[in-house]
Amino acid sequence: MARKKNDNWVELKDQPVPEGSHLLEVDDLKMYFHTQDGVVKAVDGVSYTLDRGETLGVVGESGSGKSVTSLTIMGLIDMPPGKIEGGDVRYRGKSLLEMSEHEMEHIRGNDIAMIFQDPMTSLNPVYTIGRQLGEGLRLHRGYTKEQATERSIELLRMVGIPNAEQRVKDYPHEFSGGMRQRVMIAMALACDPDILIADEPTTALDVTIQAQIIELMKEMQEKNGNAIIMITHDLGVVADVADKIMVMYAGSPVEFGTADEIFYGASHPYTWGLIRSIPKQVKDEKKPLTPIKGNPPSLVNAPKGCPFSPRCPYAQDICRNKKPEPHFVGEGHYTKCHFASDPDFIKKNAPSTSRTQNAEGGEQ
Amino acid sequence: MGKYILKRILQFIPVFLGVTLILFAMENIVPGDPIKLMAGEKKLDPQTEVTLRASYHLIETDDNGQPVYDESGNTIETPMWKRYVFYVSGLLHGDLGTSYQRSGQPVADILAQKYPYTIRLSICAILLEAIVGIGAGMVSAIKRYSFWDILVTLVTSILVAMPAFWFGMLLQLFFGIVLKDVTGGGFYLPISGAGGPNAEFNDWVYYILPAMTLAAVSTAYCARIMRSQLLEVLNQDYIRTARAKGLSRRDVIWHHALKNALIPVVTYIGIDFGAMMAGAILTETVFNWPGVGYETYRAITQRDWPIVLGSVTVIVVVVMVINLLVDVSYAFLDPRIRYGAGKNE
Amino acid sequence: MATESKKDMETMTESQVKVEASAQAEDLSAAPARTLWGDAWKRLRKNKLAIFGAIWIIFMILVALTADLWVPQTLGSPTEADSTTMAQMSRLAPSAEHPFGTDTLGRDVLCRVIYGARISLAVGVLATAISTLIGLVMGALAAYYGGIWDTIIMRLADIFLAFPYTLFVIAMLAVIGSGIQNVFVAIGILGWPSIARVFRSAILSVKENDYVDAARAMGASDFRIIARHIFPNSVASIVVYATMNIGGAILTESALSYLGMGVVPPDPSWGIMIQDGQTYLATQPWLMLMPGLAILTTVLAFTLLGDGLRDALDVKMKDA
Repeated sequence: MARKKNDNWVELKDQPVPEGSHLLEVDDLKMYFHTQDGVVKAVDGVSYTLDRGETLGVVGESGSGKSVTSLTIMGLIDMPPGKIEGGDVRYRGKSLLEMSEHEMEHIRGNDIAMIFQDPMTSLNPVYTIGRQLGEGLRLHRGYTKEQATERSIELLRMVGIPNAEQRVKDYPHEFSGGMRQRVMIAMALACDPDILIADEPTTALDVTIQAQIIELMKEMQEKNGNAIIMITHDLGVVADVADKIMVMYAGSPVEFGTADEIFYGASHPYTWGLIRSIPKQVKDEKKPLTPIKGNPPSLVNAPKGCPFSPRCPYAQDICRNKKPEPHFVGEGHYTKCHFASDPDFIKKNAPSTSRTQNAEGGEQ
Repeated sequence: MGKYILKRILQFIPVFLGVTLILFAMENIVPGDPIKLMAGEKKLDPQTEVTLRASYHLIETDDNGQPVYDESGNTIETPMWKRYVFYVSGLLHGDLGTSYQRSGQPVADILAQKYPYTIRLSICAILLEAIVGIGAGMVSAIKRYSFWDILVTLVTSILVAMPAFWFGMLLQLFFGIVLKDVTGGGFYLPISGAGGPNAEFNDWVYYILPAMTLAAVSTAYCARIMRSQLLEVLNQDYIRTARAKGLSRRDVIWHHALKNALIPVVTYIGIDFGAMMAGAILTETVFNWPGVGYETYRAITQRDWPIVLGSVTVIVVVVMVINLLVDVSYAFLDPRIRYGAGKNE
Repeated sequence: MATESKKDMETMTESQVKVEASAQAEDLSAAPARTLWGDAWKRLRKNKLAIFGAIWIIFMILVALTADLWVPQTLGSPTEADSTTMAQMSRLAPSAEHPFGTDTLGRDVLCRVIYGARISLAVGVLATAISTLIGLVMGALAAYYGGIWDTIIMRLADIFLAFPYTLFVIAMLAVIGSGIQNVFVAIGILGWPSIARVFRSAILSVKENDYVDAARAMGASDFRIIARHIFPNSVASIVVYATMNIGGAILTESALSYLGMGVVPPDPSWGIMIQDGQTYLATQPWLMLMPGLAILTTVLAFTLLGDGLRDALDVKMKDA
């Protein structure tokens, strides 16, 4: 199964990042699904940059396009029905979208690896853990079966699986959910990738296990220096790991900034909604959480104006008729809201975690 | 595993008794006296008739097999339950009974004569089914919505809707008559016994058309199951994981999808093999094939119930054994079951 | 499969995206009262093959029902042969006058195919009705009362299914004698186990629902619960199963008649016509081709309709 190494093959991972560009640059990426019922604008103008050692949190509800964006970057969307409608994805200065399928296979798992939501179904039930762990190594590194097994045991140990020599011969169903997610992480990190995309890595796990998995990912990142893209619907999950946060809604980012900027200086009503729905650790006060009313819009017949306008409590006529342009609140912190430039609007409506409110003391 | 097999065998016993009991009841309801049918036009002399009846346990006998008479000097008919006990105890001694017709041959001998034809035909058909069915299903799933997919869907729908015997005739029509110049007409007439001294071809050539006929419907089902299984497996999360690892589409299909998709298909093929071993009445009739199915059918029409009972008994046991083997092999193909049943953590 | 609910829209496959997108589109258009059958009809209408099957079935039924009104006048009798003209009329090739040709006795093959449709459709529908009825009762008893009922009925189903099917039907006919009534009785009686299994598992999955508990808490009788609460929820799978079963019953009837165990000549059954035509395979192949095509198209029509209904009603079937 090992791929024959072409002598002229350049290992992209060993190349320096070109001057003036980032490890990963996503530039106004658009990917639409062409279905019988119309065009689904699943990814509609996503941009961000990422460097080694950084963690980007991508937050949004189901159907907001966060997973599809990363699957598009990985080239794992079936085309058709998917189709790239514009933009670019550059890894170490090279466009991933222009690469051949064969080149992409080399990128996947080797340079960019991915962990999925449900560890129970993400491992092949009929093969041993060892075989599945070693597969990437045999493919990308040309390891022999023995070398791969040896490395697999090391990897399992690294992610904290006891009795790794025995466990490597076990089948996925013999592992618990948390253990499987550890295996998934080990598998993703096997070839020492630059970027680890974690798609809701903790959603399917018990709360007690969730923290362990996040901790493990952080630990691995400190060791390997890889970048992480953490996709989640739960703003709380990325709170203490993400350097930057991108809030997505209906296929495009509505707010982008550092973790601090998002948590304490959010200026988009949707971000406020997400913040309000995080349970607070206040013991003596039982306040109901504030849900965001309604459902994400259909991506086929998207609203004409701001996609959030049908659910936005502050929506005006302009919101329903005109798409908002990014408004830069600070350097690198932008919001797609018509009223983001109005400090009074923000002061009046932002939730209490907001810096401004804290300074002035209390909600209204 | 041993416990599981034992449990299955124990579960099978009531089913087996039920099947034979129903057949026994049928024999008793069916009109016509077997001994009279046996004699046909000739009149049997009363003494021979009584001896015959005694030998088939149709009348009560003493320990030496001599008929027992009541006060008025008539023979006493054996009640059905008693004959059933005789039958089952015979089975336990490996005795399947004796044919009414076929000049009183033991049923076991007749079946031993017929089974080789059925087994050979079944093996040919099952190979055809596995190769063509799995192949077509794979192509269909991998090239979904392509010309090939539509073709496979169309052909399988037609095969399933076709009477198997009619398909056999179509094959004869095509290979025997339309292609007469190529085949020398050798495929036209129903083939009896395959080969033989005047055969124009090697023996195995005569297996082609009957095997195709026998396999037609199951091949269609096999292709459909393979297609839907493969499509379902290709939708699984672990396939995406494998792709994200950098495996090519091809590797993913061959190394990750196929094994998972094949598990239910292998089960289907195994069970189908059992069904084929039960004899294919229609295929055997169209091709005049001297197998078990045709023999059993002949026995039913001629009221030769010992053969019907004997062959159904064998068929039911064979089918049960094959199904059990399929179950056991299933456990070996799918590690989840293997460990679930055996080694407990 | 267990994770389907967890999967979000983004990771959906192509077909799921379609469904989701259309569901959303329907949401937006604020569709009027949505019912299972209304939705199913909408989906079925889009399935060209299923509609084609339905049209063919309706056509066959109309032709079969009205046959007495026009067939004998134009094509002659399906059963009786005219001995005076038999010699000239025997096994004529298809022509304008006899579109499907004539058989050995000089009877018009088209005419016999049309009358054969009556028998095939009648056997298909009646046999399915019998096995569905028995299957429903058995399945309901087994699933609803469980315990010993379940064990006995399911063991009985195992016994029936353990028989080689064709042999069993033939043996049955040997006991009760051939003829059209006996054919559909035999097929019907032997067909119950599969329907019973389908209905049983349908009930078992519905039985655990809260509304059944609620009904029971309100004092509804068992029969009422089954009839009013459980049956409507399993009716989709029964309809799909019965539709497909009709095709199977037609095939079985043709096989029995071909073997000479089914419909008694001179009644025109497609199976008998194929059997008659086999002798003349080399010289007059249309004698077996035409009735065979009739079986093929009819069974195919029921399969296509059944497939369409299954997709439209979203019924999960265990076997392909």
